[in-house]
Amino acid sequence: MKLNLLARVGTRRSILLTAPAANRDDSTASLLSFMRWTNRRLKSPPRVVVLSGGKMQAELVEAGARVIDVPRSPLRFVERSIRRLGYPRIARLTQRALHASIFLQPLQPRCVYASTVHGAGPALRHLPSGARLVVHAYETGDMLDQFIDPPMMRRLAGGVHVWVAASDSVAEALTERGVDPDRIVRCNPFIDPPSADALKVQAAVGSLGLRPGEMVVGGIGHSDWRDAPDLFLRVAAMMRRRHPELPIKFVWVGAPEDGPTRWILEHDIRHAEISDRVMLVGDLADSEVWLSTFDILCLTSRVDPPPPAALQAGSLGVPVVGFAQSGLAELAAEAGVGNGIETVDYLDIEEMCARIVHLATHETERISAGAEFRELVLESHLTDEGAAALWDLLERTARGEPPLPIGASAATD
Amino acid sequence: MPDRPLRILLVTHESIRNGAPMVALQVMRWLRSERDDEIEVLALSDGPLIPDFAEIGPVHLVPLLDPDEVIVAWRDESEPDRSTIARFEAEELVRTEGLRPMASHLTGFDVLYLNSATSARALRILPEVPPVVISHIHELESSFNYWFPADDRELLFEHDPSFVVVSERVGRNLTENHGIERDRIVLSRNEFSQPDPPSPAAVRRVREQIGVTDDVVIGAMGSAEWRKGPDLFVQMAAVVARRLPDVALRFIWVGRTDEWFLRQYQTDVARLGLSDQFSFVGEQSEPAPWLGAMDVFCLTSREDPFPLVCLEAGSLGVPIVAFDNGGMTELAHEGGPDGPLIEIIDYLDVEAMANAVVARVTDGDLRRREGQRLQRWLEGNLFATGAVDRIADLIDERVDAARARPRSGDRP
Repeated sequence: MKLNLLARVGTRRSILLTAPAANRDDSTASLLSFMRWTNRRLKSPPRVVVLSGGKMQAELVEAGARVIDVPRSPLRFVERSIRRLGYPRIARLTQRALHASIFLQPLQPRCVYASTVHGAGPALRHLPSGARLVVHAYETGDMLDQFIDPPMMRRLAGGVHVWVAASDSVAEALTERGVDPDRIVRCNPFIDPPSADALKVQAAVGSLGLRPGEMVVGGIGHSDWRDAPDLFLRVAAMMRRRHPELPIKFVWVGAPEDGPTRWILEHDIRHAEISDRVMLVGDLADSEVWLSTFDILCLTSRVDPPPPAALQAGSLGVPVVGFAQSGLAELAAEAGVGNGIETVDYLDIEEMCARIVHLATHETERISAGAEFRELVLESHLTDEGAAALWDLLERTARGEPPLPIGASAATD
Repeated sequence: MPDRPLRILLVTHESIRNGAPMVALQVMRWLRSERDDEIEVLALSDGPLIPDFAEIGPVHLVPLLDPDEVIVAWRDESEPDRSTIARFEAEELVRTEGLRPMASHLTGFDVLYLNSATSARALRILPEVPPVVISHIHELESSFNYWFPADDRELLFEHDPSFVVVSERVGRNLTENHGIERDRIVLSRNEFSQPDPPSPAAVRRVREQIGVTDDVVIGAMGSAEWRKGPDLFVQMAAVVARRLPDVALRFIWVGRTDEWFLRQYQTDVARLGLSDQFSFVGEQSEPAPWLGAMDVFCLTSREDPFPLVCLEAGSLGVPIVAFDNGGMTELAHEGGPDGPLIEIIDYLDVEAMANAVVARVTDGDLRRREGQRLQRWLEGNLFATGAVDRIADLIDERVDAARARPRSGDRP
């Protein structure tokens, strides 16, 4: 359906997309894909406001977002100073004043989209009268309990009009915390189609210094408890002890270049005597390039509601071994047995190693599993499908219509 | 021998029941009671040991290393970039300057005794540095780098310090990686730390408190942070529970636990189905009954120079299983031809540690035999040497040398 000019202006002004920070994480990556889709497909894309800066700031700004960059704003400086002086309540008020200003626009939005639950607080607090709030939930139950205090969760459960759950386990967690199931719609996680520069991939492969016949088992993510490079190193250490004969290099993408977090990883590498088979490389901004160098993705994430790294790997035909929890378990069920996603019990490193050994020593099976997985991702998890459905949902919400399951109505051109 | 009494300023980076503050407390108690030295304590963060320190001398609390101030600031930023780090550093500088007046009266001491490498941070705020500086180093290389920034190192090294180290490995790290001359280092392996054994009733009360009767209790103790490996202890517990599904097992972690990290560990515990078998019981004012309640002690530390807690557990006859992570490897090898005193496991080999625990859970004789052997060795060897004398001698020697040196302003 073509939109006329008035309708376009109306759409642009009636929907406001918000994110808590420009950090390089799953929700922000999804938002960026969504923004790029709206830029491609809509003549007048919606406004996007990001409350705080981060490593994806440049990409978001290029796609049209306004990054408020709260931590570096003068008001934030005042807020921190007031907090230091021992007046946390007054400090919170200054922060709220800044957030409120985002919503004080000449044309008030009719629908506000918050890209995560933990970033939905300001949107709910300052929601313009008559506007409806859509929250995209990527957080599992553990994360909701960790980041959202119960009073805020109760307010969100009552005040959010539509919840977009990134996986069934997320939907379940929301329901368990008081969200009306009728307000929850499921949205498959989506990624952009693979587009890594072949020359960059070649350079990345070259930088690994692989010996002939050496395979790459890779891991990717932030260097934190959630993405768990510590477990990746446990896998590498166990493989050294139990299968020293297998020519495998373990490559972790996303470790910081320096600082305490890197020292911690280097400490484990040094003391587990795996320096010769483990490399910490690259930046998460180049995730696709590095994923292209992997033969197997070893996904050690403790929490991964929708696992975009697994989807990216799948789009490149790289099979995945990970823990059977939240999004990856659902994806594994979707793919079916032997179709590129192997899951093991939570933190069962022995079994994880066993699956890696099997894939590493059965090349035909590995390649075929990767191909199956690739087909699934290209069919069901690309941005064009997911973003169109999400946009349709936002438009319906802006018009005051009740939510339909995502994908139930045609996307707007 | 210098004139008595000496005025000693002890700096403790923390005031919780951790190895370094506990050791410092024991050393200072001895100096106070045996030599009448005058002790004052500069505590860089608050904690439950403050009243204990106050018993040996005036305590000055200057929260230079207040964990809330430091950690919360960093948690606000999940991906701090260089400008953010620079901003935090600038804020930290301002905060430090603001604290300086609180330490302005700390003058006229003969000796500055830093209870850890981290405590050198105090040099940023002290109005003057005493002529003798002694740093009691508990840190191996990673912790040394992590907790002892280059700026503080330079500040410390300017004052010609001597070092007390808690294990040979710590000493080797100083000489090989930081250019410290061997003759500036004295080894003291916490030989003065033999605890009083808990009463059977106290042990029974602990077991009742955690709701166990005949269960085998597998324990660990320490601040639950990366260095001590509580994550690895949880993973080890899962493997043991998987291998012994029909045995009544109880896993306990005793020690201070930051709420943020506790949530993470508890998430693992819950997802591994261990919630009914696993407890984080927090910091305990009387650790001995807790150690006495354990059947096997696991040292899952990633780095631990010479943990006091192992000496305490060993002195109670509790067998120990430890990663190859520092001082306990040294101690294990002192068992001589009869084999190691402690089962040492390859670093990060959680499954092997689990197997070692399983062997001790299923073989009560092995457990008792090992525990008694370690207990006898500690009593007959380590605790018999009385090493506070060595630290006291070092202090005297350094004070004498400092007093013999011409002071600035003296005529040559």
